[in-house]
Amino acid sequence: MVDATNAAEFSRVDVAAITKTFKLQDRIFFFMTLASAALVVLMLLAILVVLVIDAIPTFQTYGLSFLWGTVWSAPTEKFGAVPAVMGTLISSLIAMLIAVPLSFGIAIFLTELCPGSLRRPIGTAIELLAGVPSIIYGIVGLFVLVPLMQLYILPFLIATVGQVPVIGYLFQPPAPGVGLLTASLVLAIMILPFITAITRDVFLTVPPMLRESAYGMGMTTWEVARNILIPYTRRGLVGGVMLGLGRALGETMAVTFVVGSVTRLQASIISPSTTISAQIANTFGEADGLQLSSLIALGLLLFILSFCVLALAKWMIGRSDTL
Amino acid sequence: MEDTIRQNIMSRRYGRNRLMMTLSVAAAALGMFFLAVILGTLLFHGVSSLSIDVFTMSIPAEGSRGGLLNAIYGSFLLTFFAILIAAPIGILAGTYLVEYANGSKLAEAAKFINDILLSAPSIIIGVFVYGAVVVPMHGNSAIAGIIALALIALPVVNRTTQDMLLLVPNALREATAALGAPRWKAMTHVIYRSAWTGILTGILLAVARISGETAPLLFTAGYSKFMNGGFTGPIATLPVAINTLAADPGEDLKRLAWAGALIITVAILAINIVARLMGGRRQ
Amino acid sequence: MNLIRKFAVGAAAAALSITLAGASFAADITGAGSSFINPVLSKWAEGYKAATSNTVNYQSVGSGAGIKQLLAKTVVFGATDKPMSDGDLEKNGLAQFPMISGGIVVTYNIDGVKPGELVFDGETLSGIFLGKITKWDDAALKKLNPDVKLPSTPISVVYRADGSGTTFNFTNYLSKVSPEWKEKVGSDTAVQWPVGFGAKGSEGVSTTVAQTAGSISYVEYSYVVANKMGFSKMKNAAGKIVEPKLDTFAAAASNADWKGAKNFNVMITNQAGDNTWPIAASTWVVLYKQPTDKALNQGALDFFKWAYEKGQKDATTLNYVAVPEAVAKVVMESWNKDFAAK
Repeated sequence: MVDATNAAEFSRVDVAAITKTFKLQDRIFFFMTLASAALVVLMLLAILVVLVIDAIPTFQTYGLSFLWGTVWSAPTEKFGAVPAVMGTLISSLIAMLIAVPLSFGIAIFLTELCPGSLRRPIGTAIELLAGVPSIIYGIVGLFVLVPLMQLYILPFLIATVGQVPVIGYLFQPPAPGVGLLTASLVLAIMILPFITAITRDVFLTVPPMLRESAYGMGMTTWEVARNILIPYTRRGLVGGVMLGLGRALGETMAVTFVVGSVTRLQASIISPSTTISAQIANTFGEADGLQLSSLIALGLLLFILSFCVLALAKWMIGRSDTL
Repeated sequence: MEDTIRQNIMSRRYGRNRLMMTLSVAAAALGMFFLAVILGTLLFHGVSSLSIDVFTMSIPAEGSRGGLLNAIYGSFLLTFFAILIAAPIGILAGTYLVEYANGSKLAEAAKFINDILLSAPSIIIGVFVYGAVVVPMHGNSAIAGIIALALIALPVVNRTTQDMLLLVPNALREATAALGAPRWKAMTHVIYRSAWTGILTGILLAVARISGETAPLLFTAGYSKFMNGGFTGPIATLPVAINTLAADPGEDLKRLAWAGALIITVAILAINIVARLMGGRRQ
Repeated sequence: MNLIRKFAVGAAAAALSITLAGASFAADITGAGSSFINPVLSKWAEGYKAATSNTVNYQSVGSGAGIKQLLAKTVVFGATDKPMSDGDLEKNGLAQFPMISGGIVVTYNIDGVKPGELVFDGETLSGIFLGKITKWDDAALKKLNPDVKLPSTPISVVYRADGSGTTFNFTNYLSKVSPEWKEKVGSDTAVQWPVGFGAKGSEGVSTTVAQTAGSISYVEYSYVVANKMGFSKMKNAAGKIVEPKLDTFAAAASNADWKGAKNFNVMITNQAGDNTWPIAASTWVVLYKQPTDKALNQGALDFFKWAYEKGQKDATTLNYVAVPEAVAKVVMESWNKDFAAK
C-alpha cells in the first residue's frame, strides 16, 4: 500500500519497466498455451495425412472398388474392404444390442432401486470394470469364454436357431469357439460399464421434482423410467449409446484374441471371422507393399467411421461432464 | 364392473413393473457377475504364477526360469516419459482453450478435435506412429512407443484440465486480475492451485489408461526378451508381453502371461481408486 | 510453486538417471523370422549370453515377416524356412546358410485318441486340407487306422495365418504327394487354404489346436512336445510307417547335399529311405554381405559360430538335427568369402 511513509521509495520503482516485463512474460505464457492447443489440432491433421498418403497405393490399384471388394487374400495379393468392415459392423451391432438394454437396466437399478448404502460400491465396481485393460478381456475371453462357446453354447445354437429357415444361415458350422458372436459377447461386456456410467449420469440430471411428482401421481418405478427418465434424457442417452458404439468399433485387443483370423466373407456369425482392428493387429507386422497399404486403408476407413459416430454423439450430447 | 377393470389394469401395471424391476436387478447382478468372473480368473491363474522370479528376472526362452522384469521396466519407462511429455502440453492446451479463447469458434473446433483424438481407436495411433517414427528410424524403439502413448494421454489431460478450469469460479479470476501480478503468475499461483486436485486426477487417469494399452505398442515399441535401457531398439512392455506370452503353448510362459495380467490389472485398479479418492466429492 | 519446483527437479533427476542407465547397455544383435527355429535359437541365445554376455534378441514373427524386417534393415539377421532364391539373394546382396533341420508334425485334438496313435499318409492329409475329408470317421482314415476308435466329429482345419516357412514346407510336401493340391493351392509361405481358419504363429496354432476339439494342424515337433499335444505317425514315400523322432528327422536330412547346392538351397521333404520322416524342414539364416553395421554383423556371425560349435546339445535336446560338422566347416569357410573382412 502506498502512503506517506513509503511514497518516496515507491517513486523509485519503475512502473513502466515492470509492466513491460509482465507483458512479456504474459505473452510468452500465452504463446505456450496457444502452441499446445494448436499442437493437438496439428496431431489430428498429421494422423489423417499420414493415413491418407500411405493408403493411396491401394486406391491407385483398386480405385473406389476397394470399398466394396469382397476378397481379402494376402497370398494372391487381392484386397477388398468388405470382409473386415462387415466384421467390425456386425460385431459392434450385436455388442450394442446386448450391452445397451443391460446398461439401461443397471442404470435404472442404480438410480431408482438400489439402497443408498449399496449405491456407491456398486457404482464404483462398474467403473472399475471400465478401467480393466482391454487385453485382459481378450485373454479371459480366450481362455474362459471360447471353450464355453465351443463345447456348449454354439452347438446348442446350431441345433436350435441353426435349424430355423432364413435366420438359420447365420448359425452354421464350423464353430470352433472363436468367431464374430464370441467377439460380440466380449465387446458387449467391455462397453457395458462405459454406457452404464454415462446413462446413470444422464439419469441423475433429471430434476428430482419431476421424479417426485411422477411417483406422487402413483406411477410405478418402471413407468417413471419409461415415461419420464428416458424421454427427458433422450438426447443424452443416444449420445451415450453412440459413444459406446464408437468405442466398440475401434476395440482391438479384446476382439483379436477371440475372432479368429479368417478373411473369407461368410454368412455364419458363429464361425471364425475378422474385424478391421483385428486384421490390422494380426497382419500388420509382416505386411508390406500393397498389403500394408490396404491395411492402412482399412485403418483410415475405421478412423472415418468412428469420427462420424463420435461427431454424431457430440451433436446429441452437447458438452457435458460425462464425456 | 369398473372396479374389476381398474383392478385388472392395476395388476397389469404392477406386474409389468415387477417384471422390469426384476430384470433391472438381474442386469446389475449380471454386471457384478462379469466383474467377479474377470477378477476371479485373473486371481486364480495369476496368483499361483507370482513368485520373486517374476520381479527379478527377464522374459525367458521356453523351458528356462524367468520373469517379467524387463516388461515391467519397459512399462514404467514408456508411461513415465509419455506423461512427462503429454501432461504439460495437455495442461497448457486446456488452459488456452478455457482461459484465453473460451467461446470462440476456433476454440470450439479445437475442443471438438481434441475429443475426436480422445476417442480415436488406439490402433490407428499405432499405425500413424509406425509411419511417422518407426519407418524413418528403421525399427521399433522406446521413443516410438513413448510418442504413441503420449498421443493417447494428451487429449485426456487436455479434456480434464478444461473441465477443471471451467469449475473455477469467475470471481477468483477477477480477484487475481486485481492483484496486479502478471497474468501467468495469477494463473499458476491461484487458478491452477484451486483446480490442481482435479488436474492431477486427470493425469492419474491418463496414466491408468496408457499403462494398459497394447495395440498402439505392437508395432511401435515392439517386444523383446531382454532388458533394454536405451531409447532405441525394441523394448518389452507388460501388455505386449501378455499378448505374446498368452499365445505360447508352453505352460510356464502362459503362467507368466497370467502373472503379468494380474500385475497390470491390480496396478491400474489401484491408480483408478487413488484418482477416485482424490477426485472424491465430484460425484 | 515450491511443490512444482521440487517435482520438476525430481522428474529431471529420474529422467537423467534412467537415460544414463540406458546408455550403458550395449546394442543388441537383433534377428527375426522363422518360428520353427525359435525354441532352439532362444536356448542358444540364453547360453550365448551366459558365455559371452552378448545379447542376441530374436523375434519369432514368421519367416515372411523376418525376411521383410531384414530387407527393411530393422534387424541384423533373418531366419527363414523357405530358402531365398538365388535371384533374390543376388539382388539384395544377401547370403544364406543352414542352421538346423527338424520335423514338422501333424497335430490333432480328438476325443479319445492319444498322441502318436493316428497314422496319416500324403493322400489322406491332402484330402483333409483340401476339404474333401470332413469327418474323423471317414473311410480313408479308418483304413489307415483300423485299430483306432475314431469319433464322427467334424474336422476343424487350423493353419498358419501369418507368412510361415512351416506352411511353405508343409505345402511343399502336399504338392509333392498330391497333384490336385499342387494345382489348386500350391506351395508358399502363405496360401489360399480351401478350408479351415488361421492362428498366428506356431504358438497360436498349438494353443488353438489344444483348445479346439476335433482340430488338425501342422506344426514343428518341438511345439507339440512342449504342449503335450497329439501328433501322428506318417506313412513315408517308401510306404513305411515312421514316428516323428530325432533319427527319422536325421534320416531325412542325411539325404541333403548341402555342399553341392548353390546358396545351400536344399529341400528335404518327402525324401527316400525306409526310416525317413516325410515332412522335414530346415531353417536358413540370412545376412547382408555388405552391412551398414559391420560390428553387429560380425557379432551375429560369432553367435552362429558358437551355435555350430557348442550348440549341438541344445539342438538335440529339443529334437532338432544340427547341421553336420563337415557342412558347418564349409559354411564358415564361405563366410570369409561372402562377408566383408573381419
